[in-house]
Amino acid sequence: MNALRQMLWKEFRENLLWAALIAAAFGIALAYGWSKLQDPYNHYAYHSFMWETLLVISRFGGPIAGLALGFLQTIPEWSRDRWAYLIHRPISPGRIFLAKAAAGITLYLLATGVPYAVLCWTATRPGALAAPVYLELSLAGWMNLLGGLPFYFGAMLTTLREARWTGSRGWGLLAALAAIASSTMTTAGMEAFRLAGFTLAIACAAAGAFLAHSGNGAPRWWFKTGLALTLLWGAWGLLFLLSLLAQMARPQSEHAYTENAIHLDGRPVQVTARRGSPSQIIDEMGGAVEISKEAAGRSELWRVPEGYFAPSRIDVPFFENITRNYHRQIWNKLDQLESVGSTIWYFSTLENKLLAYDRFTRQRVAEGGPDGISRPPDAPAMPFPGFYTRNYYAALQFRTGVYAVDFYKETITPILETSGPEQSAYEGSAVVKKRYDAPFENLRIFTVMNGVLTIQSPDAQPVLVKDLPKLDKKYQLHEVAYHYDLERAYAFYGLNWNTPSKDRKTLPTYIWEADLKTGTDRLIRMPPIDNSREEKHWTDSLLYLVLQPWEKVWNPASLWFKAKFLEPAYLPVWERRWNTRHQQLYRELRQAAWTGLAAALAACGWITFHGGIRKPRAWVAPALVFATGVPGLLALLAWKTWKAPAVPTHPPAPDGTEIFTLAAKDR
Amino acid sequence: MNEPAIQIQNLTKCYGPHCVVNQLTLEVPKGCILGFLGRNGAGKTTTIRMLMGIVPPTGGSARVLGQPADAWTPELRARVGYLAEGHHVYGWMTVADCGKFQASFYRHWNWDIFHAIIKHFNLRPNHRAGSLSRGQRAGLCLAMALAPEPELLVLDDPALGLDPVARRSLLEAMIYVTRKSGRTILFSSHLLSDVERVADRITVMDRGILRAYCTLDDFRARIRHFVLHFDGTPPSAPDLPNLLHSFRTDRELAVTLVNADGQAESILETLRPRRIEQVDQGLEEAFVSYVGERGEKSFFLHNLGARS
Repeated sequence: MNALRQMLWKEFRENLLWAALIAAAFGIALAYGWSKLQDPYNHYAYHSFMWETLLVISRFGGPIAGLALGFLQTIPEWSRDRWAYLIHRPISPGRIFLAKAAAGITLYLLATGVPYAVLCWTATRPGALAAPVYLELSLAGWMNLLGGLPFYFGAMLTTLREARWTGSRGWGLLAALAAIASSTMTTAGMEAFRLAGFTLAIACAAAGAFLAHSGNGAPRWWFKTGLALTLLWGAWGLLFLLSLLAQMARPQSEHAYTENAIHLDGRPVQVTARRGSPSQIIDEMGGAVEISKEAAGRSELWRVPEGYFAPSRIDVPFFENITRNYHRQIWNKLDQLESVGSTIWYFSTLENKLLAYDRFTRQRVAEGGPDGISRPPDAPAMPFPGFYTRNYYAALQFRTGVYAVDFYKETITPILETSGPEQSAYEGSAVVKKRYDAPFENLRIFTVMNGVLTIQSPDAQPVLVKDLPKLDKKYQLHEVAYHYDLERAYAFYGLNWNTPSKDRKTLPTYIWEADLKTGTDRLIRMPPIDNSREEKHWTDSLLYLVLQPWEKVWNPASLWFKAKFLEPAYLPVWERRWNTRHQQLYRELRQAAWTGLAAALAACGWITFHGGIRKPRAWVAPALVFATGVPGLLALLAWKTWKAPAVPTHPPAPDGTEIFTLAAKDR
Repeated sequence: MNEPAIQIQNLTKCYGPHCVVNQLTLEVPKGCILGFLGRNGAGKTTTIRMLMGIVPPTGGSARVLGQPADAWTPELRARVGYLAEGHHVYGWMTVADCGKFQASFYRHWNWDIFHAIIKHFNLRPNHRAGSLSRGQRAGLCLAMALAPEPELLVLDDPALGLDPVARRSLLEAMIYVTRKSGRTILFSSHLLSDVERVADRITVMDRGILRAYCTLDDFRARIRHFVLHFDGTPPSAPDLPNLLHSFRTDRELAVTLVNADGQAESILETLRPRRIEQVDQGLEEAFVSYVGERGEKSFFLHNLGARS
């Protein structure tokens, strides 16, 4: 124990100064960020802890600090005499590494954590920020700081690992990059879990590299596992970077995308756009429509101004519960700051309330709930019922209701309130249609419930209540739109994602139009839409195949499963657009089969020629490679001890000049 | 019980195609002091680092105090003192800190030895290690290596870069502390006079190959140097068995032989020199002859005169 304490003391003593410098640099950066948060005219300051600059400081600060400490703790030791002095002591090298890592992690957490903790403490002081502050908001920053640990061990691994090719040492750092890249878009708990997994694997690899130079016997299984995972993630990280570079380097796709829309003059049209600009517009009969400058310039009118897809059980919990979204600002209020004076409104998902802060005094000045807006000394507002799902302009949508908020008159009006879980807002959708320059009164709120479309004004007066047409189950409601000048409402119907490609070429699409002035409605048959012509760029396909053949099977399979057993009508938009055609699905399956076969053959060949894995387990290798692609094959090599270069089997023949007068047995 | 202190079997270390230690086989019995000789790059330090488990060998095996050298245990490390060639210490520690730090790792630590050596090198406990001279640092390292009273002491060029006084101090300390306890010492050096003073036996490595393992006397005796005096220009050296090198001048032919027997002398006599003189060599001359360049060299003054 005394020896371990001495090692810890030595590590602390040697690196304390560096840690202090890192803490100072990090503290200065955070202080700069804090000074900006205090600025009442800095719009971004109202993100509180979620302010990008603060997150960027911790996002980059953590890895840089981790890298610095990792290198500083190993590079000086790596000189050969110093290494010998470090290793040759009667204590297991594992404990030496443990002391080093424990001291390094402690110093890292102190150097980065203390300044950040001071920032958090300061922010929770009353009147510190003109925004809601919850400690949960700091989780994103803490996770960013945890993201420095893979870099710490990655730096150690880079220094300590002997590799045939020097460049491959850096794969520890690429693996660390992959760690933070793959951990960001998830919940705090999952992010911590993933980072811990990555850190553990890279730490095992670094510890194994440390032990490899300390005469500690053959490499252990945990070292090989850690190294294999590190190499795998490193390869993924590298290929991910390459794919980004390839995307940036190649010319923009010429792919044309077709969708139904409403022309400025109210005609239903079908617009084909390339690179975001309309290249062809046809009417319901297929006749060409002139592309006027006005139409091209005011795309918000001839294209659907605010598309909205009904939330599904699949996407809502995922997108709404991520750590980086604990509260979100009501963006449209920022546009109207002038007219509401110094008050800034927020919606807090933790309190399920609207909260108002004064930008100068930085104090909470009002709260809003289903019972209206209250200001002190009134009783605090009631929280909204159920989960908040999203807001559009001034309509707040919950799973059990929709509310319109007028921030000028400080009123909150229920637009839709469901009776309970059996009639939840899952089944409906609220869409606010409003031109950017229209007054609040002109706002129209759409709700779809049990096949009935209701359009209401912000004071909950019904403008239109109509049964939507019942179409074949192949169709689903995609979007609704509102034309203010003509006072017409529209509903856009398209084919479900799982409609076969051959049907897409022949089946028509529909636009439902309701005239609010006359109260009449009609269903307009539009030409078929088939966007399945999109071909992936070959570099994308290649990288995808190289990276993860299994994905080619997994993604279509998961879509099929969701469509079959979950909610085909409510699949999230990104999935629906990502892979909408059976034809593409079959093509991807075919590619997967070929790639998987090639990868499996490569693995079998490797096993045959090198004999790295015993026969009973040999089948695991092709399966692993099929699941993980070419990087998996590379990582697999880490399990095997590389063949040493050819060594002379006999010493050079004696030439008679040797002097051996002492008995050296077996010499 | 008579297990050797060090057993090396076909130990090999290659970096790419270049083998710096090639099929080294050697046994060092307990209680002896072995001088490990060789030119720069002969493979001495690599061998020592492989023995100490710091560099993994490409092939072969070694055992230190009966245990495999690629799987050192803390107990084994406690029984072996090792002084690497750079005499590394943590510069921010004081001499006393160094002692305390090092002592914390050992169950057995003889403070008397530590203090005696520190005193021998005129070191004060509050001296910062980073400000010590090279000789003093070597002394401090030696004190830390000897204080645990190891059974085997491995010193990698301990006198490297030291002035003669510091070298002498180091040797004195080493001899004083180690001789009477009868422990095994393996030390590499370029300084033959040091080896001569301390070692029982020597090994000589040349370009990664062990070429000699013998006592000092045997080494000196096996390398014989003849000077043949001629009245005129001497002939080239004949094809002698085990000829290390020859050197021709205007009137002399000097040949150095190893493992020479009577047959070599008979062959030299066939050259009909005016006189054959056998010159005794010190260890240094013998070593230089043994590991120096081989073949014939000549240097004729009359050539210089003709050119001028």
